[in-house]
Amino acid sequence: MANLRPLPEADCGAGPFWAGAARGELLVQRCDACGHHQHYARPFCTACRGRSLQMVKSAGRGLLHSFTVVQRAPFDDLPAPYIVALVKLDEGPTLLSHLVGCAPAEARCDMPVLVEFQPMRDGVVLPVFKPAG
Amino acid sequence: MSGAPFAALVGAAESDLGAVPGRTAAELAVQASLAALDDAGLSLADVDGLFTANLSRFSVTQLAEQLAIEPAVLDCTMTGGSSFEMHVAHAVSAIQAGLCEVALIAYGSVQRSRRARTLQGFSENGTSAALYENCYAPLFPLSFYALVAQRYLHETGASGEDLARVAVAARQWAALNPKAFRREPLTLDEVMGSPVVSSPLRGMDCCLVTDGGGAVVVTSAARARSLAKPPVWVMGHGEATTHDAMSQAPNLLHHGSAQSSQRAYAMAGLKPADIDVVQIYDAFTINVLVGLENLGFCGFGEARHFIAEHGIAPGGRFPLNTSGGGLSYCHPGMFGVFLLIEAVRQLRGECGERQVGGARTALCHGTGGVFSSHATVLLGVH
Repeated sequence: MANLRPLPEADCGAGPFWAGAARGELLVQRCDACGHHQHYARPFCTACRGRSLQMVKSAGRGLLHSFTVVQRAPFDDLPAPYIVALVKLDEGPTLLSHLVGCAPAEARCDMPVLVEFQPMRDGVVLPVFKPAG
Repeated sequence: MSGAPFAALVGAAESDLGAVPGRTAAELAVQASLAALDDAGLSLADVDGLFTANLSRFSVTQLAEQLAIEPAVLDCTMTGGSSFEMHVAHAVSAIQAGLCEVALIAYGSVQRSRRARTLQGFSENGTSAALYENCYAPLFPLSFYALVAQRYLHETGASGEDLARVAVAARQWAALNPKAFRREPLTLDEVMGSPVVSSPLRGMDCCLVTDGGGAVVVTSAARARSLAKPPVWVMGHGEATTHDAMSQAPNLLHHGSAQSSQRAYAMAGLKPADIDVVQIYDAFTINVLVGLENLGFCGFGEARHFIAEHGIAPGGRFPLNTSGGGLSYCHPGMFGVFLLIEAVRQLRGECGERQVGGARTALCHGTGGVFSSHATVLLGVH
């Protein structure tokens, strides 16, 4: 039996994020009171502790804060090498993702990146990032 | 210490280490417990506080049953590799509060023999990793330490060789430790020639995968003075956490170890320059570089210069991870208790060829998760 990557757990507070990704939207949470953006969704603002927040669409632009080229693949549905990335969105939040469309030797910390959407399986779509420009 | 110490480490021992087939984790924890109590000159009947982690879901009741004791204080705080430094903190607090007098802290793992380690590591339902991140297939925990290492190299100008030198120094210490798992010489070229697993980290930047158990005994100041061996006083302790998943870390290079160590230094009335021997959990080589900086031994980005100037290998002026560490001595899943065991032995002068002359103070720093949890313990002898 193939050893496949785990699907994200979406039958919980993460549901809206993954529903957005399936529509081709990268969603983050914005605080109505102070405008702080955060990933992932919580029932309060981590900056001002306000309780009123909305899921909003990110512009999907940011910087490659750090990355690692994985050379030994644990899963059958993702051959090595692949690049695991920490992306710092222009809106503020950092999220874990993949860097795609970039040769491993070309990846650099702080390079500008842009979101795109990649089908995984069972209708799940992953936000991933490619070099911008 | 600001005031008189409340408690001391009075016993320390490992179980069989390395490849120990045909045992359970709890059996190794029991073996280490008995050896640590023998070392202290105490018996199971004296133990009224029990601390352990990750033997099973109900670790502390499992171990109490296997030891056939009914302790008054039970704690299976589980924060990964920092658990055992936290156990010391909690044991001292319990002793200080009069809740127990003899606390046994014990651990065991058979991860090597049971082939329990996998590249993808552990995933637990309901964590932010399971909700948002595991679908991207980071190696756990390796890729997260690699993300820190990559950013570290980017911001500081350090190189892969600077990481590799940490592994070489660890092996030089291990060569002096008869209990170490890997003792054959290791060169910089061999580390740099080992395959990259999750860049920039190579196979030889990673800790060992071994079986093993360890235990330490903590008791009150009064009881400690009545025992045969000199007490190793707990001068200070501190804990901290900043995140669980790496994406939530406030900063990839400025860690909770800064807070945990500042809390410990303040309690002890000590500063980094007062420490004679240092044990930093070296799950990966990067841990030592960022550890030296966050624990206050040098400024940010200066660790490679500090190492070059002071020397962390045998004969150097800054004795670090004198057992050979998780990189070369042993690494049964969570290394925190072994930091304490080595520090006790150094402060008692029991380390033979690798003994640090005149060591009076020691720092043990445990890290758990992906630099998620931190606990620092400062020890000293009079």
